[in-house]
Amino acid sequence: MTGPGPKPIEVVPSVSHRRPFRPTIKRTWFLARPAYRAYALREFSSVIVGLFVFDLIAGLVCLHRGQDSWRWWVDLQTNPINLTLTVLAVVMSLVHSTTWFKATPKIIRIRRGVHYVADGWVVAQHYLLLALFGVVVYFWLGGL
Amino acid sequence: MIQDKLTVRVQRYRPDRDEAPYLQDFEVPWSHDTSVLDALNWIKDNLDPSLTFRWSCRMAICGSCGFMLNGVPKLGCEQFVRDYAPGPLRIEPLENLAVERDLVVDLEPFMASLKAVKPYVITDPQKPLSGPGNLQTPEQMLAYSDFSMCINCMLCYSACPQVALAVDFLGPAAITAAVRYNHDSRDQGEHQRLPVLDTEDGLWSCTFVGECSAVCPKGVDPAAAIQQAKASAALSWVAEFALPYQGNDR
Repeated sequence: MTGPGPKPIEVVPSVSHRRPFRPTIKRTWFLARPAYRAYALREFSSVIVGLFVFDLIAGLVCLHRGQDSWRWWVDLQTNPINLTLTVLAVVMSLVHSTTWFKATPKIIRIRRGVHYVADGWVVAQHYLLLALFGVVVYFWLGGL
Repeated sequence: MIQDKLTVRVQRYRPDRDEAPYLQDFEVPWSHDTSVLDALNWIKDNLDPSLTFRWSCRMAICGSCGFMLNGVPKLGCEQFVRDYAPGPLRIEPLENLAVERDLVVDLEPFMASLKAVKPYVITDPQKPLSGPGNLQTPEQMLAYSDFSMCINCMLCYSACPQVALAVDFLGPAAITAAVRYNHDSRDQGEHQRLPVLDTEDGLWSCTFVGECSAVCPKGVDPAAAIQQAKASAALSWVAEFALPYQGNDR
């Protein structure tokens, strides 16, 4: 068989237009969703509790330094800023502990047969332990 | 029966033409049983064949059609247009991931994370092949079965702010896969996975926001898997000091 034969296929090199777009995250990302806001509040609660602990440590230092210093610290506790901090510390302690107690069933899984103990029981055990601890501390301090 | 039309606002991005993504509106007819994936396919078939998105099974098994629907990560096949009436319904690619084209995101970083945790049963090479096999009791299966439901749809990556903030974070699904195999009685690979998990870009990048578990379409709880793995890693760290041979077998 004669003739020119089939025309060779022209190979055209492919060109990639790949240019992945990377969105940037806003600085206010923690306000974007209700779950993020709850998370931010839980994290922020530790800052307030930390400030309150700092105040208590300052009280211990003042107690160590003598009577005048101690009176100064006791007077400081009636300052409106300090009172606000104390009230906030109570609220944030509740936020912090309740949210963490609520999260405990994710870590503590107690198996009974082919089922896990219900989450509510695990959370309830933490509240029970907290109550027992509270009673022990109450009597340890001589029933106030 | 076609009931009405709804505005579907789709994010478009064609890297050869567009400088940045933008939103494009389409009017889509819908009925009671029109899924969001159906709506996208209707646009592709009738209005714009260039619209690009991933999909396959249409029944929440393949994990391909994850999108942001009005800002929330969901599977397109599992959501109905009727729940977004009267609209508009905004469809965007999964957040926190690089966009390749329209609704298609780059899967390579996730695939690398998944590969790094060795998501398969690793058996002791000393174990004789002629043994009784890998039988499991229902109790042993319970230890990992919840975590084995993951379909790698990456909705959890889209819900996790740490994926965006800590670029090299292994992420919820990859860590859950590691925990799934660590909890499997047939597996002896925990010591091989620990060096990958117990790092700053591994478990410890997780700050326990918990949204990964909230968006999971299969009821997997990645937040629980990660916190359990943190407890395990911490115990291993203690074992290094407290036990002979650093807690390993001789």
